[in-house]
Amino acid sequence: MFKIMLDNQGIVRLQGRLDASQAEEATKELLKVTKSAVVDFRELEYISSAGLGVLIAAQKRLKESGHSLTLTNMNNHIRDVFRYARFDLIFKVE
Amino acid sequence: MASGSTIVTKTILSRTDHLSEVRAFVSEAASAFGFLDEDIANISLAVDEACTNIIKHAYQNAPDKEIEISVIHNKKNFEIRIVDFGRRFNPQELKAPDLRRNLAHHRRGGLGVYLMKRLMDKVEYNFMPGRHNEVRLIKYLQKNQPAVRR
Repeated sequence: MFKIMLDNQGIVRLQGRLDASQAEEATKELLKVTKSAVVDFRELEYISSAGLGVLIAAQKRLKESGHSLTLTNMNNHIRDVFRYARFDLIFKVE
Repeated sequence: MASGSTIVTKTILSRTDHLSEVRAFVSEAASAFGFLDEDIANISLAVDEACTNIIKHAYQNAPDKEIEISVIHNKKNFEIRIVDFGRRFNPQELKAPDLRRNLAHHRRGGLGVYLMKRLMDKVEYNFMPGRHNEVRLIKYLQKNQPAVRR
């Protein structure tokens, strides 16, 4: 189960498990983000490299227009995965 | 196979919507073996990455091929052996990803394989021409973890 929700305050909420089966859905929704946004991981239980790929593609696209994603409320495991992948160097993680 | 090893096996079709089943299967076995939550999460992610690579590269997203996942363990070692019958794909023969350069260009190439190696104690690829491809993911029980439960 995975859900991605965009609200009108510029917050992207992720819920459930983001693996390769959900990467297309996440990519499609993130394309709707055109300005700097916060991605709330509070209800995200799991992410694989396919999910990381979705986020890095969105970050690359946004940075080209001077915007970026800020990631917040990660659980410990997801935070570790970001650290192993060194993604903490290209995202602001709160 | 070492004597005293325990084996459980699951077979899935090569579709990413089966990845959650695989993670649940491996997590249950890793928990029963005695791993703590952090290791269980790491093992589960490494197996997800291996199966995703098989679906994408060995089977090139064909949805009706078989992937066999076996968990083999004795008192000290926990191994997941994943077998496919698709194209030979050995990421170890490819140039190791330059993580720093990939990050600079916001690319994720090779990240799945990198994570598998980072999360497990040993990752090994074996190819039996005309038979199957196999990836072995091995995690050793650390000294500060409880003894195997079964």
